[in-house]
This record gives sequence, structure tokens and C-alpha cells, in this order.
Amino acid sequence: MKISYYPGCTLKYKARNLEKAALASLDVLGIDVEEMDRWNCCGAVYSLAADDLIHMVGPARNLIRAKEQGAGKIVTLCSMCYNTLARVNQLMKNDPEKRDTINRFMDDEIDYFGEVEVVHFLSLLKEEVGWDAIRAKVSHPLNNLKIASYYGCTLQRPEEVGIEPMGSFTLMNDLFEALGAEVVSFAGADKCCGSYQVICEEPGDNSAAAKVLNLAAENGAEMLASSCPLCEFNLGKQQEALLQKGAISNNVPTLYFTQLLAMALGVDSKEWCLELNDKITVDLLEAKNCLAAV
Amino acid sequence: MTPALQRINQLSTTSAAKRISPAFFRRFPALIQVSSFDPFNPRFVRPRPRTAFHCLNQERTMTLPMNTQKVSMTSIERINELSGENVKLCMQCGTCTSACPMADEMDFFPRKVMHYSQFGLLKSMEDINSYWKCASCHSCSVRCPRGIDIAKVMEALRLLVLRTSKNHIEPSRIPAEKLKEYPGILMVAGFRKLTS
Repeated sequence: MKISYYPGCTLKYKARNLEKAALASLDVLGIDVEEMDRWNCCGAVYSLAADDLIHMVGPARNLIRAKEQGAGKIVTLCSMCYNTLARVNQLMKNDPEKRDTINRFMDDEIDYFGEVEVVHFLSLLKEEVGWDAIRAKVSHPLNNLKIASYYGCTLQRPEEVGIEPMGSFTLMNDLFEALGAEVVSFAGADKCCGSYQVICEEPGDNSAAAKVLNLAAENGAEMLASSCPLCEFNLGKQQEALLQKGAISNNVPTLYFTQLLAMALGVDSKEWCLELNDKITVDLLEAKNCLAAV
Repeated sequence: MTPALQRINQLSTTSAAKRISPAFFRRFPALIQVSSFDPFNPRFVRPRPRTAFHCLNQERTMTLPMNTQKVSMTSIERINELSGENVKLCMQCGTCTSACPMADEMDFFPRKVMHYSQFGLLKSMEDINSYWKCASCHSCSVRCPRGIDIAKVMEALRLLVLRTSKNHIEPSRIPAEKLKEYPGILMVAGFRKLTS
């Protein structure tokens, strides 16, 4: 079955480190994915209003593209894209009335009935490769690295599109264990990072992000791994400002889970795109000897 | 809680509050400021909650003074229609508030927003920041014992303002240096949620 890859807006620019590391890792693992032709923005947030169908058109068009191009699955890396596409897919599958309206609106496109499956990269790794196979391919285990998995809001909520049940973080935790790292569990793994609220706040005022970072630090995490460019912005790029304003007391370096995967699999270091991460992240990886091998 | 604060707390909840001379409270202006409660001034504007004590105070006023003129059936209908939910199902347990990561920055906690929505008190919710602070993280929705998707109610309240062509944030006023830093996903999501 053909797997179509949907990147989303930020992964071609500010979050190249999320995408490049993932695609290079898939090459090593022998999974074929093909970037979708003519993809468009998913809208980042799912429209919650009952009468708002126009905002479903963008994501639905992506699903139609995948169907047109003969894909059985769409895989996404960004968790907000995953959430939006998966929820619109559910709507197209389960709500005949709204589906017909959307299909009629896009009368130049083929009709879509929810045939394509939307999966997140983590689920794809588990289903198509499996943790044992990944463990076998790890050439540079991430020993001595204490990582906290950060899911954020959109990977688990609402329940019908969650990649796993609420309160369980096995997908990311199992992956990191397979990569040889030590997993730190903490209560902030599914707490909101403040999301798009930072757009109307001054840097350092995001109390939601501060809570997550404080919880991670209190539980002894040396590093926070996420799968969303917005979480990375709030928790990583804004961390210095949070520290300056005294909202957090300790730095917690952040990076994308795909970068850890690429490092452990011995992917060429060019593909890690660490230049897009903060200095504290690079420093920690250097101190832990994760950068020396490749 | 200090004994003095406890005392004020106690006074303000009992009928004794009506009998105590305002002079008593004037003697302890600092305490009144901290407790943000002035039983002698019905127009007292409560500051934004910043301490646990403020939050407690906000939640103490669970009773809504109500009469038939105040209730707006059309507003209830509009909220229900836009959200696709039934706000009357809410039993005021406050689970949403305890789950909300933004609650401590909100003027009204989610429970109170639900309470006001149940009576269609849109006017009283015009100036509160609660539904603008909501980040649609669904922490409340997945925990609601009555199965209400509270995030959708918050969205409905936002849309009731946005659909009158009022922006909550003005994109043109965001400084260029900030825009340069912002990832695309932040601007798409932020403008979708906070502009008309």
C-alpha cells in the first residue's frame, strides 16, 4: 500500500529538523513514503463550530489528493496537522450530510468518503517497523540520556483521533527505550504548551509552557522531545525568555523525537539539522557524546 | 490563610457582613485588597485572579442572581447552535476548571463560563478574557462527566464576537521582528482562532 507523506507548512522552513531527520531515518529503516503532490495548508486548527464547513475544505482537499494519488495512508509528522487531518477524515467518514456538502462544494474534485487512513509518524514506526526492528538497527544508542516524551494536546485529544488512549505515552516512550535512552515520565506530557496563545503575549509570559518545563525539570528530565513545531517554539525557542522572567528555574533542552531517531540510527549528521535547535540542546548532546560518533 | 484573612472570609459569607461597620474594613485596606472582596460595594471590580486566594473568592460566588428578564433564550440557542452542544447538560461540577491549563489566567473559570452560558448571559461575558485564553487543548472536553465538548462552547463564544467583524488581535500591529521569529503554524493557528 502506498504511503503518502504530508509535511505541512512549517516543516519546509522553521521545522526542517523535524522533517529531514524523519525522512532520512525512514530510508535507513526501509520504509517507502512519497511526499504528496500539490499539498496545501491543513489550517493548523480544526474548526469547532457546528456550522463552519469552509475550514474543512483545506484539509479535505489534502485527503482527496491522497486518494487521487492512490495512497492508502497519509503519514504526518506535525501533531497539529495530524489532528486536523484525522478529525476532518472522521467527519468525512461519519457525517454523511456534511460530507455531501463538502463534496458538492468541491465539484471539480473527486468525491471523498474517508477512504484514506491518517496516521502519525509514531504509529507508522510501530506498525510498519516495530520497536524490535528499530532496536536492531540502532548503531549509536543514546545511552545516559534522560528524555521526557512530550505529547502536547493534539496527539491524544479528542479520544477518537488520539494515537493512543489518554494518559498513556507508550509510543514515544517505547521508541526512546528502543533507541537506548532512559525515559522520564512526568505529569506534563499531555499538558498544553499554550499553543497559539503566544501570538498575543510577550515572550516569557506563557505560564502554560512554564508549567510543562518545570514539571519536566522536577522529574529529572534532561531533555524534552516533542513532535510539534508550535510546542517546540513555545517550549524551546521561548525558554530563554521564560528563564529571564523567572517563570522557570532550570533549562530543559528541547528537540524533535525524529532527531533522536536519526542520531541513534547513525543517519548522516547533516540531516539532523541541529543548527535549527537551540545552543543548549547541542551542548547537552555534545556533553552526552551523542554527536561524536557520526 | 492568615487568621485575619479567615475572619474577613467568614464575615463576607455570613449575614454578619451586613452588620459590620465599613470602618472595620477601612481599618484593614490591605487585607481587603488581598482578599479582593468588598461586601459594601456592589460595584466592586474584582482584579484578575493572581493568587490561590483570588481564585477561591471567584469560585465562592456560585449563585447567580437571576430573574426572567435576565435570561436570554435566544442567546442560549445561539451558543448551542454554534457549538453543537447543549450547555444545559452542565451540572457545575468544575471538572473543566480543574483540568484547564489556562484557568489561572482567566477572568471567569470554565465552570463559570458554562454557568453564564446556561442562562445566555452574553452581555456579562462581553469583556472577560476566558474564551480568548482558551487554547482548544480539549483537556476539559475529554474529562467532562456530562460529555459536553466545552472547547466547542468556548469556540462558539469567540465566534459570536468574531462574526461581528471584530478582531481579538490585530495582525498588522504585530512587530516585524516577532513575525520573523514566529513559525508558520503559530500564525495560521493564531489568526484562525483570534481574527474574524
